[in-house]
Amino acid sequence: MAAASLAALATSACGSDDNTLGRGTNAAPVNVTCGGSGTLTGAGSTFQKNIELQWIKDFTGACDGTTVDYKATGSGAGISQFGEGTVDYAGTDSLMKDDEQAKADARCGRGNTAIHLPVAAGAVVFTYHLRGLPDALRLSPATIAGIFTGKITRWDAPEVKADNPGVTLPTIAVQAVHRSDSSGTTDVLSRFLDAQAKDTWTLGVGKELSWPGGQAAKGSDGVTGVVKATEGGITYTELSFAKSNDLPWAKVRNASGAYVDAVGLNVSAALATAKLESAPTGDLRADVDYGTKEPAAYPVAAVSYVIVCDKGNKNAELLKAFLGYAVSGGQSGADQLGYAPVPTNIAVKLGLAVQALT
Amino acid sequence: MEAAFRGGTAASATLVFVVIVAIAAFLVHKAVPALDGNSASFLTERQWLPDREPSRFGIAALVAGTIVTSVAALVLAVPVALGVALFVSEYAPPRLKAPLGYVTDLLAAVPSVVYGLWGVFFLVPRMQKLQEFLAAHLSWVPFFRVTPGEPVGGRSLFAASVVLAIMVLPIVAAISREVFVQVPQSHREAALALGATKLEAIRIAVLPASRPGVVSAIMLGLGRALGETIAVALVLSAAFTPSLRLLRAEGGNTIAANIATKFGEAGVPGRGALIASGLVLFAITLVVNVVARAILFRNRRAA
Repeated sequence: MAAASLAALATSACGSDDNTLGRGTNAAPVNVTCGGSGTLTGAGSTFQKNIELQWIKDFTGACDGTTVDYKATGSGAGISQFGEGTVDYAGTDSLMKDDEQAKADARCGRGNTAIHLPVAAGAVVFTYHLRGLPDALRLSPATIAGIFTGKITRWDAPEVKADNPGVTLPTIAVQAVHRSDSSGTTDVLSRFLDAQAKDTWTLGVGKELSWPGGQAAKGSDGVTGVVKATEGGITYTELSFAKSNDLPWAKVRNASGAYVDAVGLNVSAALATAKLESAPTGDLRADVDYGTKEPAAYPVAAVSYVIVCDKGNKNAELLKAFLGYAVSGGQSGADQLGYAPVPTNIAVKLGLAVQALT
Repeated sequence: MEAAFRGGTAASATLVFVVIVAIAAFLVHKAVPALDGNSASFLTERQWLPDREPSRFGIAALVAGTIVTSVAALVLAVPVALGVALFVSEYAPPRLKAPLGYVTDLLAAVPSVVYGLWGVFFLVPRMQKLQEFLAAHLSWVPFFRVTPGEPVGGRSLFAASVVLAIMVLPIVAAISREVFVQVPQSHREAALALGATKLEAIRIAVLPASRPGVVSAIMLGLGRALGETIAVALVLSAAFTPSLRLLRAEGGNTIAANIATKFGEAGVPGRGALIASGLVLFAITLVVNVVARAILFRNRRAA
């Protein structure tokens, strides 16, 4: 056990590639300020699951008499559970719709508002199964759009060759795999392609799309599982799933023309250019700029929110302490878990919003 | 005491009707608003986007997938199942009868999620060669036709049908065996005494007498195939183009599997749409049952 934690400390200190994801690290938590006691429950986004579990482990390990429970039931289910008052906070990948907002506000009590806090950030990557490629595949938005709309059917197509000069591409069929369930990941993919490959991408924007073909599977684990089993397969998923399946992921061309890897700093660089919309209640929404000209930015970046009440939270002390850790010290382990640290400009605003919760 | 018992049985009988009517009423009540909000034709639309503005969803691909996988599963499973049942009841040496019976019963008791996981991780990768072979050499069979250049095999409708067939087989085999064993030994002996061979004795004495039971067994198997949810959701790649071509890697979809995949993240119209599809499955099952009853009834009169 001691050796394991030492090893974990060593890898996190070096920042080397660590493929043992989703298990959490035993690194000593930094910056935990305890407060409140009792139990806190959250539910929602599966995207947030791994980082929430890490926060919970760090926080409850450092603060005696606290229990935090997060159930990854899916964003939609989390929001409705928050509205019904059965959980203390919800996790969601997309903003609440008007009727959901109204229900959540009502739960918070008269005059109070349910607010969005972008606590987790991460990349959607394109992970593939091709034998014998020496380096990461490089893909431009138009090529990605062509692959997922069925216009590019072979790996040696001219569009893929143009993105990868000098690389011998396998002469096999492209097997594009998409999500069969409604998903925030599909939403991010479609928004990115709709903004950056308008001519090729004809499927519009949404959590569910009308796919013209290709295979489908349920959940991030489902699509990565199919790609792992299918030579020539490619899918879009959160970085952590590509890592835990030992699959490579492509470098994606951003609007400055550079092909960028989805490492945490590059994702944070993209999110730092997001348009922020903040309200006096602490509500903070980030509109990701998929066309950012920042050369280091990995363009397919996303934020995931927690939803809490601005005032009138049950067990506000504990909620404040837990989220306080999540938005500060909790971000330091993000990279290793396949997420990206929330960029500083957002983190500062988040810290203030969390402090103001009651 | 007599009256109380009579009342109790009558109450149980009524309860069945009440439950059926309550299910139908619930499905209709929840489905109607979603169907009203559907801006496309429920019967022909080739998309399932009920939570979009405007809401668009159609049942065609789901019904096609449900029926084609179930029927294909029966085509694959029934001959083998009847073979198993006949072997156990007619041919197997007494020492083997009991163990074989236990094994078929055990297969029938394996939960469907286990079949699903086994199907997707073990069977599907190992079936790729077979699926490619069928596409290359049997493409004159309409169900096996593929468009040139289209990915073949993988988590296709055919793969789902094979998993369903394996799930259906033990049910049909176990019930058919029970039915065959029920045929009085004296009938077989009479046939043999008249000079029939073993095969002829089975044909004239065993099979006709057990036909209603075998039809019931097949219908129960069909019921399991039609309603199978999690195994299909795991094995089948979900697509919404209605198609009877079994080998396309794009796959297809069934009503039950679609409900399992979509329910978690569905909004209010989305849930209504899924419940509407559940109503269709309810109707299909009802029709299948009525047809099975009609077949049995006609047989009984003919006999």
